[in-house]
Amino acid sequence: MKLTFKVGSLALAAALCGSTLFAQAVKVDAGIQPYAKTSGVSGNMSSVGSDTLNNLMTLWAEGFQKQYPNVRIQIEGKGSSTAPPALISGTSQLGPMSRTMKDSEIDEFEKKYGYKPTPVRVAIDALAVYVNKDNPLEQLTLQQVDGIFSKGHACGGKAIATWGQAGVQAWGSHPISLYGRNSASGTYGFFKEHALCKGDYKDMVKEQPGSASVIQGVTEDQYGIGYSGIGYRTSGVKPLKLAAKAGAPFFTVNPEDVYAGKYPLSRFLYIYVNKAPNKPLDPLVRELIKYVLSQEGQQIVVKDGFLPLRNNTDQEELAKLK
Amino acid sequence: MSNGNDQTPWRRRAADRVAHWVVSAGGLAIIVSILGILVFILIEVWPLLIPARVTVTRQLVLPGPAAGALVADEHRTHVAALGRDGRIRVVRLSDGRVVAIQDLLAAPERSELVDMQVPPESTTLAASTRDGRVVIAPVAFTVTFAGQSRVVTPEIATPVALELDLERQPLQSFAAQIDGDGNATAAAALADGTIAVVRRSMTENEMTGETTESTERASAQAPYRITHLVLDASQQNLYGGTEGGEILWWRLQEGQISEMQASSAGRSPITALNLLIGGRSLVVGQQDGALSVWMPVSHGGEADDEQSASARMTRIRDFPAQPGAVRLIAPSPRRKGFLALGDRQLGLYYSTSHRTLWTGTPPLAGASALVATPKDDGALVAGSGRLASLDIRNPHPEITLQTLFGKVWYEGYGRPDYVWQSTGGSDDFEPKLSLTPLLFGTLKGTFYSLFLAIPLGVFGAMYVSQFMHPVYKRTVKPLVEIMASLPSVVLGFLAGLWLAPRIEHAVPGLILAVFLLPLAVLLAGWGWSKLPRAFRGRFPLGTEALGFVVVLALGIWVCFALERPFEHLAFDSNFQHWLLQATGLAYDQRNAVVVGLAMGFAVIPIIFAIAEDAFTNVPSNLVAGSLALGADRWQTVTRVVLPTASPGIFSAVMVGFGRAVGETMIVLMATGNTPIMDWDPFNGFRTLSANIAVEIPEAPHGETLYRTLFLAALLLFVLTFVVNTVAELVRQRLRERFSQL
Repeated sequence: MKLTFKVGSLALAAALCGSTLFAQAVKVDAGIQPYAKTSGVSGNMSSVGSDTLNNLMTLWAEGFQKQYPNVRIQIEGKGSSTAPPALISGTSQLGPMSRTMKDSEIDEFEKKYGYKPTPVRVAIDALAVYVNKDNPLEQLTLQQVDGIFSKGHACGGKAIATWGQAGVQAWGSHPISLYGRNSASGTYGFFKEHALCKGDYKDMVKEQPGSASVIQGVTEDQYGIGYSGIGYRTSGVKPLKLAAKAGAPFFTVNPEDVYAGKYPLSRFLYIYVNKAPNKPLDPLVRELIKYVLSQEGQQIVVKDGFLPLRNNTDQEELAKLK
Repeated sequence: MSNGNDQTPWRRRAADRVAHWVVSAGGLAIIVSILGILVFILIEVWPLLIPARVTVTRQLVLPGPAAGALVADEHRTHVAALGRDGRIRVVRLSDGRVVAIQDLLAAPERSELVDMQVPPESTTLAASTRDGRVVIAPVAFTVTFAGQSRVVTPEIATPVALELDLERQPLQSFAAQIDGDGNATAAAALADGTIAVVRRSMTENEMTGETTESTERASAQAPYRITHLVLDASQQNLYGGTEGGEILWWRLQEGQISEMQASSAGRSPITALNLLIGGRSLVVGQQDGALSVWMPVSHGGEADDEQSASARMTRIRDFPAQPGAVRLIAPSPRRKGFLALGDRQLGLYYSTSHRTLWTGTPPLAGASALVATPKDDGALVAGSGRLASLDIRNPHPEITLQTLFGKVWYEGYGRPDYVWQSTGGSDDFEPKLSLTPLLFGTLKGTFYSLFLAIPLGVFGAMYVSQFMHPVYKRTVKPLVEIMASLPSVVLGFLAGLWLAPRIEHAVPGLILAVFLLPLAVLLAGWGWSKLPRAFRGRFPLGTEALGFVVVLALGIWVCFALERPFEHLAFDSNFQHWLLQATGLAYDQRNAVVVGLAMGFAVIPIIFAIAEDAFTNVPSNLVAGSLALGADRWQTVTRVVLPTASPGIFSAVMVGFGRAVGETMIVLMATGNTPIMDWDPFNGFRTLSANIAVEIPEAPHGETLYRTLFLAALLLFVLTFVVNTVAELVRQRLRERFSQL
């Protein structure tokens, strides 16, 4: 009885550690100012876009609504590619994206409004490559990752189809089961560009509708491997150490290495807004972005498992709102 | 009663008429709405067929000597033109006024230019000089807003000059690139028959923030008369064309030039050379008008590794030859299309779909520079003191029957293939829109689910309607129909996240069950028939089914009890390992068997319900007659009931087929949506319907992907329409044949 209790609490502790990976190590830059409430903010707002940012948007919206109880925010997160069409048609005021807009998406926006959309960097994410927690594998080079996930191996690696080829001798010829994101996802695009050297995914990659289902898939599939933002880590999966190329040092997803740009798959997360030049932003949108970039907003980033902005980036982004 | 008799005909007629109108109106409404859906889909699809159009909108005077390189701003308001005299003139396109003039090189450094180009995927003016240098000047057009109106200001960055020929001889052909951090590479063919490459690298000191500049040079023998050179945006691949019609390829890595690789494009000299966006396809124009696209392709078996040493430049496709020499090639900055301008023709082409979209006469004679505008909506041509501005309307160049249904040789692939991969994270991605793998996936999913659903549905219906005790029938029938009301998203969720991981460890047991269960049932039936009649007589007819439930349960238990020994004996104690070794197939957790089970579960009640009605509707006088003539129950069912009910059973199967073809949520959730073409039951597939559901939210409205998804919808529509029509025709025919009974 006692034993099972202990095991249970250990598992619980592991789960808690997993979900707040950076909680102990990361402090939000003290230079980032706390949020200053203004008056007269109310109304409805909607956000359509990234799935990676979905939880964060929800938490930010909750925090914002505590400040302004008369504000309603609707959040939908199917993938970054859904943000530009919604922003262009005006069905959303906020376009969270886990990648930058493509030129063709900016063109569409500009065609309608005559100016470009404004990207606001709101958090830092590290894309992690996850395996099942029972997998003995600890690390991969990006060339190996490319060999596992891509068809053409544009990064110059070799094709890897079984766990033996990836370095897990115990699992010898067991095939690797691949999990990835749907093509609407910014994570899909980012991974393709940075981990696969713009090569194509293998047809065998199982496309999942969200980051959480990639993690779920790898948790349930002992021989699975998948990629997702670090904020979605759970105790059922293990992020691998990555190296930019063979012979280069391996890095875990820890804050110093991500901030220093040493971890090879780190990126900014964005919220795109529709800001006409020389005109102030809609007060509701402006206050929400200010909240996101405030001390409180960045603490939410830490709580959700992502990395907060540094003060200089934060100031640069705040300047865009003027 | 008599009163009623008087009124009945009138009332009946009225009711009849009302019913007639209501039914007709309802039927018409259904036909109209289906036609409406069809028309809507057609409206969304037909713009795919709109041809491209190129029109000359404006001709301006361009002062100065012939311009050799042009860079336009994205709003098509200004163009920067680099002339042979070394001056950059920025011209406003609305009125042809020169708004700025700047020297590429300041006074003491000045030198006459030999050759000029805009490096691929850049807005940079580059030139080679008479004294052996290559000069690179990035051009930017910054947009500011004064009030609400746009103000475009051209900005020409400080040029970077790299000394290629230390003997200071004129450079004939050259290539250059510069990236955002100022790292630049230039290559040139020197007079002494070598290729020289100079790279300037900028390194930033993280502590002080200072940047230091370093220059490396390398050279290699090139015993060819090189006419054109081009360097890709990564500054790692250098391509050349020669007077003898050879295509040359060098890799530049870490200051080294790799061994040269030469391929022949025929005898005709190469007169134009450029890289398409992404830097993987080389467009080659020749003196005799030949126009071809080349890519590095690895010919070393399985691995499509273009970076490996075995990769060779390969001629992928040929476009119809132009009537005169091809002089200039301008790639589209947005997709895999390009413009080619020759002595006697201007053409608009698209590489992936192998389409010649438009051809016409050149807008001006003696053209010296051609550039596509940044948004791919126009082009500018300079020559003989003039500048022509073209409008290009080219909405859907990616689509042909070949790209939709045939094999296409995509960039980075070892061979032509059917591929669905519609989007990437950047603009240089080549969309791969083959519907063939999706059609295949649709049929594969349908096949595996009907494989389960037809026997169970039809025979289940036969048993329930003909043999089962009416008491049980009253509960079984509604229970099966309740199965149909389970939302398919629930089924899909259960199949993907609960069933799939369990099946993964139980495949040998399942295989065993496929053989053992029918055997067990047959054995039990045979054993039952051997039991004394007196004993059997104690159970009312139809209750023996309960006994079979016990037999089935026992059979399943036995199968899974024997699973490990069976796996050990038949599959080397690891089924998935054995599968990979013996057949080369990788076992995937989300596979066709899982979907077959889940979708079968959804289709069974539909087939069951219709087939059961068909069996029940067989006239009882036929059954009674057959029994009276001495046929036993089994003979009656197989020889009389089954043929009579066959039209109904047929339509049951066809309705089941239609349901399986259109089913979306189960396949979406239970497979990995992997667009592979392989009948293997142990891997997944991607169906047309799931594909539409997955990709329509991200498809930009009115773009090619969006319309292609509607085309997929049209295909589904046609597929079910054809199947249903054929099914109806066959059913009518069968019904006629059996109506005499």
